[in-house]
Amino acid sequence: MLKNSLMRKIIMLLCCLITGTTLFAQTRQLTGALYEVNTKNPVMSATIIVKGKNTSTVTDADGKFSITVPQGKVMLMVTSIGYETKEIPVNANDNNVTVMLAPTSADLQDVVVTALGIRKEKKALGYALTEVKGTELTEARSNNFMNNLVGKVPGLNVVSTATGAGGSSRVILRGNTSISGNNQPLYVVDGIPIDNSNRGSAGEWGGRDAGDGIQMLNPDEIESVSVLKGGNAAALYGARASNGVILVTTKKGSGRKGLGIEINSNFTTENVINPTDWQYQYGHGTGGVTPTTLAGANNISLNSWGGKLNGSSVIQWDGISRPYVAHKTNIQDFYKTGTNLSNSVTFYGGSDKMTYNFSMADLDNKSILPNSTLRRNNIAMNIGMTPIDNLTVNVSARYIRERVKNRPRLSDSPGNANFTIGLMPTSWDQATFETSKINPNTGGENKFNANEYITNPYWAVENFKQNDSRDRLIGSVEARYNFTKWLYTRGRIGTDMYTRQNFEVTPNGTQFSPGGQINDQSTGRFREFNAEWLLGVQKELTNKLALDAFVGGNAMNQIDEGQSVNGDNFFIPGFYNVNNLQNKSTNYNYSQKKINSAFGSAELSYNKFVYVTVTGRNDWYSTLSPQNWSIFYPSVAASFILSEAVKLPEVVTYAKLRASWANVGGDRDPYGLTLPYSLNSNAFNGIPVGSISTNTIPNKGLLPYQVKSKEVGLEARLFKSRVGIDLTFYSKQTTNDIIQSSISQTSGFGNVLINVGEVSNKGIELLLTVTAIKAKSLVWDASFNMGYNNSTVIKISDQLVTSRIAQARSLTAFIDHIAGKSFGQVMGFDYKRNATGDYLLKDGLPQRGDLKAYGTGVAPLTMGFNNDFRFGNFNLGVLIDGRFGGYMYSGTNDFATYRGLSQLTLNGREGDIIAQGVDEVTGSKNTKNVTSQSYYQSVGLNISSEFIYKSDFIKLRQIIFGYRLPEKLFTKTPFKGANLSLVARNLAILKKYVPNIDPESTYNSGNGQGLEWYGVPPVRTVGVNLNLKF
Amino acid sequence: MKFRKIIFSLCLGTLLLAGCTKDFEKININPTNVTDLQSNALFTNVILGVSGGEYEAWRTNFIYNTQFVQQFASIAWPQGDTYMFDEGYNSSLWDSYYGGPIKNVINLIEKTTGVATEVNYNSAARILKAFAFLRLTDSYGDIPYTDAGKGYIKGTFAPAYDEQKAILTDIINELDAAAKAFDASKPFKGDITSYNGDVAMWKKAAYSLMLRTAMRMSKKDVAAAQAGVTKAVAGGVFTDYTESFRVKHIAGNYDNPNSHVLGYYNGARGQLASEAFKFSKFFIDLLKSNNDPRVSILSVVRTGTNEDGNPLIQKGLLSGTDPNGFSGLSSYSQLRADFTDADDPNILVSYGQTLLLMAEARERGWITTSTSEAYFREGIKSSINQLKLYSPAAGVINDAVVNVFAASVIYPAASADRMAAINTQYYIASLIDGYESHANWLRSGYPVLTPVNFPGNYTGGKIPLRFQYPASESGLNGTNLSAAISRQGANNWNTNIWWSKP
Repeated sequence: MLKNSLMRKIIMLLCCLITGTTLFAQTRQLTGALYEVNTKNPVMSATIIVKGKNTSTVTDADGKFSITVPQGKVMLMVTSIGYETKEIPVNANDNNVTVMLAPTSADLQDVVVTALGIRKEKKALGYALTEVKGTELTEARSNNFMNNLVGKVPGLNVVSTATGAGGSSRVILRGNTSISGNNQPLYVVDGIPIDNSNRGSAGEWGGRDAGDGIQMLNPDEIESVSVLKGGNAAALYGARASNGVILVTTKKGSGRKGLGIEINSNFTTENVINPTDWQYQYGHGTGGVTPTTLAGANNISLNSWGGKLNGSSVIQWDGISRPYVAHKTNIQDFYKTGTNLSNSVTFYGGSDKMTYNFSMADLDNKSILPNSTLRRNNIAMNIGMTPIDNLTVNVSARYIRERVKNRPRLSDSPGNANFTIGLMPTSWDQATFETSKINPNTGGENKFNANEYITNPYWAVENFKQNDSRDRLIGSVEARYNFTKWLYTRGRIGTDMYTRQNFEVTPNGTQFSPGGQINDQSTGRFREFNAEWLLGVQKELTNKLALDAFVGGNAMNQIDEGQSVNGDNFFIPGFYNVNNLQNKSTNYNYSQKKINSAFGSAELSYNKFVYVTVTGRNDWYSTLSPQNWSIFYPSVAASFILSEAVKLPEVVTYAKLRASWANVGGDRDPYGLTLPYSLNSNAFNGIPVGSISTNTIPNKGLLPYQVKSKEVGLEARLFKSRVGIDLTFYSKQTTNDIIQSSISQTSGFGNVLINVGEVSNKGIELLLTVTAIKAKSLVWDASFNMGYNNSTVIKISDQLVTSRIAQARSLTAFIDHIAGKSFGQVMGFDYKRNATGDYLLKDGLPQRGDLKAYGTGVAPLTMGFNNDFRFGNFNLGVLIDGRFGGYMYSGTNDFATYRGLSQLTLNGREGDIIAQGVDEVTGSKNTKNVTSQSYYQSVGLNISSEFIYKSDFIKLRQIIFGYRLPEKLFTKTPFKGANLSLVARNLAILKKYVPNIDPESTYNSGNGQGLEWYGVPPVRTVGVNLNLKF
Repeated sequence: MKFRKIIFSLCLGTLLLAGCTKDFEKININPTNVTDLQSNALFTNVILGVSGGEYEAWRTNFIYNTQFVQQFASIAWPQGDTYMFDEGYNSSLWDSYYGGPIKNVINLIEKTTGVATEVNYNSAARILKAFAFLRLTDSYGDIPYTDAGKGYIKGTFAPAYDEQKAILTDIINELDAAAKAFDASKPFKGDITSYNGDVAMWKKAAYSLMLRTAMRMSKKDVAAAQAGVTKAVAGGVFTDYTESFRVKHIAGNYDNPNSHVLGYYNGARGQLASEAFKFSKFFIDLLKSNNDPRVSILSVVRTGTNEDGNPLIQKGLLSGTDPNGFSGLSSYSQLRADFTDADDPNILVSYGQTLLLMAEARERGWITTSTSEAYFREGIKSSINQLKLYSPAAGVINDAVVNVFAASVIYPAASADRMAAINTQYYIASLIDGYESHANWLRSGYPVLTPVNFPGNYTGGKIPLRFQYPASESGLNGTNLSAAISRQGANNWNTNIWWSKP
């Protein structure tokens, strides 16, 4: 050994002498770990440089590193943003070092991912930015990880649809920006914008929610999520920044010794929460009479206006007589226990030349709705390389396959199991719908009520067919080259592409469609390509003045196309193939747009306490006409670290003031400039038939809408950072909003698109963090966040002061924009009243009065209260959240009142009702008595204001109880760590005002929020999460 | 070295941006929608649009017009029978025509004007445009005409209303110019009228329509009417019932619009059609009182799917029948299904109508050929014979019977009585086309109808004279609408349009 070593030294010496370099120097492997000096937490992503050499590496998530160094004594330099740079001498025979790093100042110096994926110290930012760590998304997980952000980010409002597996979520940052735009943020994964389209949704006439794009991501792959809430943070995205941007950064590999493996398994069960509390005293029937014949039972429909439940034998819908008793658990009995099994495995590791991270995941979700399932597989890879000095290359690719079966039909009754179960008279047992589902004579759906558009729930979930699949590839290659210490360039190309297939059948024998239908058989393909390049400077100009600036460009190309077939009447019953359709039609759609951009940003800092950042982006749009297609979007932001500029009282650990201003734009759709023609899909005996295919006049002068946003904020940490405050005031003004304005039909067209709308959003965001207890045995961190957004639709158009965006199935409640009021007012009909407010009755019955606005459907106030307790190896997290100030129309309550199911209708069942109010004709106090049924059928589906409620709620959203197995258990095993947690979501609704439904229930994720109509009931999730590290 | 790299990077970046907008205009053209279509495809669509759709056929034609003039009566849809106002029904022709065929025909004329090879499409489009605007102005009076349908071409979002007189004058000029411009040597495809691209026939259609247009002014502007009639006859009108101007339809995607309302349409609305529209008592009694052989061809009593044409059992439903307490609907006569098949032609201008207008013109001395009686009797014959165009399975009336009947109809001696006789025959001949039936009844006053005065009606118990302007116009085209109303009179169903003003 010694000899060998001696020989090496001699050779090395010789080589040095000959070549004058150490090129052939002998090396050794040095490993080590970095910890924060106070907390002893590992420091990740720190750079380790061997002084006098060109070798460097970065630390992994556990603060570990491994680096090749020359034999002999070496000097390591450790740098990490937020920490003091440290030089560590390492002796020749020392092959393992532990380094303690001190933060650069007393505050916690966060480094966050900002626009275009550029990492910055949080203190330099002139705007609010909230970062959520990936670990918060994986334990008590949701199929759509965006739902895990509920209650965690001030200013973020997430609404998820009341549907089964794989529904979409509506994410709004700082209020709705545009009257008619989609208002949801841009999602960017590792610098690549990804599509979040909702490819199918339910409206007042029913439908299925086809999910959105962001839900396909596997939360296990996520390192962090940066929420850029407004134009201020997102200005560098220019045309696509108006609704904010959500930046997802995925996990990267790291230089470490050996292969790292992480396994996460999550198993949860889903159970329906029955939100209903109906009347259980009267059963099926009408006029107080229970049916006595089958025809009678069928014609009565789903009416609960029968006689008092008395246990006698009464004929039911299927001709069988059964005891006339209440069945209170129809909802619990119909919905099954759902399961959700999610497994992922991640391999990671690397050296100083290369790092890698591979992960695979499988999600298997069975909804509470029978036969409704979601299966998702994610495969991801991130590779980082340093092929030559100063050049780093990152390759990232993720493949996702998602298969969903039988997404539930929502809202209106056809094919909607939730509707029939929700409105079923209590004297029926839901199980009879399974046993008597089939009509023995026809083999089709057994008719059970006069309205064939109300479907047997078991026919709906067992015979209706729907399945869709999405195959998606998100990939990018990024290279960065450092010319000098202060000059670098970065290039990136990336793509998001997926194909989506959908197949949806209304089976033969369905009451409302005896011949059957293929509602849709389609294949769609989406592709977006981005190529981005930038040249950057990071230089200390003087010892106090520093510049961080870049210029760059981006080219975006997006193509969306699809083919579909639909039709009706199958030749051969039960053979669901398009060739078996008697009538069919086909469709092909295609859409393409490009945006080219040039952008620049310059951040000037003075003495690390004043930061001023100016950005500008110019976009060129293919969707606009040449004279309009170039638009410039500027922003300016400033940050002032008060605590470093002046001496503050002892209690103030850190204080920062920030302010910013930005002007960004809203994207727009292609093909709005020229008059489109189309050929009919069917020729006239071989003769082509074509026409102008729009009722909206193309407007060559149309521009994207403009959003000017301002914000000011304060960040402070007090009492040695035990208390933190982050407060933001913002305002954003939308002008030139694109409005579809009605014009005289005699012009040949019904509408023209014009830039005239105006919307204002103003708000406050607050984040309070308190380390309430900090003892050896117990740490209690509490954080409270709140966002209040006051929106006003200022102007719709010159002619319009209202604009309708949605209506409920009853056609008596609407969501309208009203100039001067907040976004999306819930509209309902009041009772008809006289001047003093008394009800004006006709024949003793109330009448419908004026249509009135009752308040916004978008809750202006959102709150979250999160508590983390850590004691020994245990931790407990409790999240409570709430939304306040919004209103909703509940169609479920409305219809249930009309049909005599709601408790309200117990009034006057025995003996009549003499309604409060005055007779319309005589003007005198009403004395006429009417039956409960005629009274409530005058109110139900008619006077909708009776069913408009506050949508406020407080929910116990999430509990995580975790146990970290002691590390000493693993010393002799390959394990490095193990965590076991019990997790639960949506445990309880602590407070609400609307009866019989979940106040969050909505059937789509569109702009018209505040309408509810027979969705899937709320679900409670309970399970375990196991995380293992090797 | 380093700086070369920098320059290279810069160039790459600049290249990325420069020259990048080159293909932008091309990209922003939807490949699934063409930016232009061949005229023949647009032409075919315009013909179908003018023939109409279920929407206005149901509302304006059957619910309103045919019931206003008491050809049909309905328990299910009694709004026309009883003069009840419904905004959607009232505006259905306006909404459908302006948003559909008017938009497309104006566009087709615009793109073919001045193009020599497109002259036949241009001329035929002008004739169809004349037909559509005549129907609109007959229904509403003063309407947007000159500027209408030019929202895209001229950016006119709120077109001015033209006076009806000017509209009729222009229609006559347009028809003459269009007829003269046809060129048989130029392409003419996509013609799904009965003419199948025969320009000679299109000319006859133009002049027959001109005759109709000119006769509209018979009361209000005799000189213009006479001049128009003279010009029409000189240009050459139809000479046989087979020349009647009609649009072909095919079952499936291009059904006859009336078939969805009256016919046994095999679709979602099939059940509605079976009993909705009955013949009125007035109409059946009129046929029976003349021993008109059409009674056993047109009207049937339906039992299940069986149609009984026995003339003895035909009876019409009294217009304005109160649905409360009414029963026995199926014992009333309705139109034989053969005339409402999905593939039946839709007759726009018939030879029978043309002959009867000639009879009136001859009686007024505006033309000098033949005699008014000859035109009258030929008009009756042709009106019966034209039923063959529907290919009824239940047989046709043989020529001998037709001749005997045509000869048997009383043709009175007094000129005023002759007007009644001619226009009553015109009324029978125009069955199904409620627009034309109502317009000619309004012009001539014949047949004399007994109005219904149902509680809550909109007209004070008078047969509506016109439709009112849609409510949407007051918000979207208010200034021009006000000008039209101040010129024409109150915006309701009781105001006479220009040519029907006393």
